[in-house]
Amino acid sequence: MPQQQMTEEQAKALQEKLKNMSPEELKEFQKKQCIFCQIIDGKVSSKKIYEDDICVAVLDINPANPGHLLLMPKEHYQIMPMIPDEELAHLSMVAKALSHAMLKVLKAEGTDIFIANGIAAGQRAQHFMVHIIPRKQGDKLPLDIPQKDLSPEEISAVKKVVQEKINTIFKIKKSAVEIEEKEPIKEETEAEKEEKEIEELETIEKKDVKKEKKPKKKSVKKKAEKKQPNQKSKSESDSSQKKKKKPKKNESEEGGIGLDDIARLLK
Amino acid sequence: MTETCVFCQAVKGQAKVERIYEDDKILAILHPRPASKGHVLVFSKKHYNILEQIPDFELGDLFKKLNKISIAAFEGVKAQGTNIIIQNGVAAGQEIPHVCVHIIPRNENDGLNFQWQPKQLTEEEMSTVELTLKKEAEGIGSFQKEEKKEPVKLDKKAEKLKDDEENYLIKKLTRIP
Repeated sequence: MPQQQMTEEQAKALQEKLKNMSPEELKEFQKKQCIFCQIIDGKVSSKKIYEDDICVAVLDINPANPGHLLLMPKEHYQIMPMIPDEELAHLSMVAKALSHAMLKVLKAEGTDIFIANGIAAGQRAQHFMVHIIPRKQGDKLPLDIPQKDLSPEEISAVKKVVQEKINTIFKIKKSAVEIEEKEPIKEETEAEKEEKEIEELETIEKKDVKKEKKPKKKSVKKKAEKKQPNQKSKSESDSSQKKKKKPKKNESEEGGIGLDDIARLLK
Repeated sequence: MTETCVFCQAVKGQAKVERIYEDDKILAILHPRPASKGHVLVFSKKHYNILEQIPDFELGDLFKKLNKISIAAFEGVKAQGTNIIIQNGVAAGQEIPHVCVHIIPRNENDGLNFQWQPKQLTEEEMSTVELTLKKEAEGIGSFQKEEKKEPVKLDKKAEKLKDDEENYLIKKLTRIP
């Protein structure tokens, strides 16, 4: 019993310590705790198959099949949404090349690329990784994807909520409906830019008029600024940042207007 | 091939699908018979049978968008996690000969289980696999050359590419008898 109390206290102390850490310190702390970061640094021995500036691929010591590889970014990321675009793109290319190598030299008849984000998805390590698993006919791995029937109502309900999120994340506004009608995409973004410019101007004007509500207006203005130029890269970093904070709670209200209409029209 | 492919028909609008994202390169649809709510299929509009046929830069582009779509699916259905799966080849469970990426939102006790039983390999078996794969993996890196054609590129990478190419040329030279 006393031992348990100790651990509880320790846990509390640890939690307190974690709370007070800066993001950089926290990252460093996580890295120290992470066995895969140690593998990457060479502090723990492993069978490295491939390595470059961005990622490392090692043989899984508990493989699903002989040749099962774990491809990991060198940087410590817990889940896929935290990974910057360029790194993820690089990882996908390396995964493809490794899968190709398996088909060639291990005489695999197929490969599975498998990623688990979150404990509910079966993620066990705290370090993001891509499993590349060589497959042979009849090897009976449980990687078949089961299929269920959903009612049309359920499907349209799912479509509505996912569509809304996609519109928010990709910054598709009402005008985006026209994309479906084969409108050139470039025009959309220009129109969007204009919209935001006007938005920004308005907020600045308001700010000048009412100085009392200054902080609030400021944040609105910031939002408008954020969205403005360089839309693609901004939106990317935006969405990844959103994810870093608690994603479920992050019900962003911007762009919420008219999304229902979009969803309805898209049907 | 493309005439009979369901995904190609979906791209052309000949098959009824629930589109959730589309641009000039890729299409994302809801799986008509999903493993879980919010199960999304993402594939390139161009017909590729298997992963190895997709050009590197196209695959990279697909993954960048895939990441965002997976966030949308995750948040949309309020899931606790996601699985990203590519079944590459019939032996891996691929059913449609047009390579696609599955995004499967997951919740605890959702009845899905992709957990495999680990196999115990002898030290010898492990080293054989290691050597074979490692030798083949030495050739990896050429994919960056294809990436060169990609319009968006980091300066850092460009420098590295140059070096790599030089190394490659030197290697090639040494091979000439």
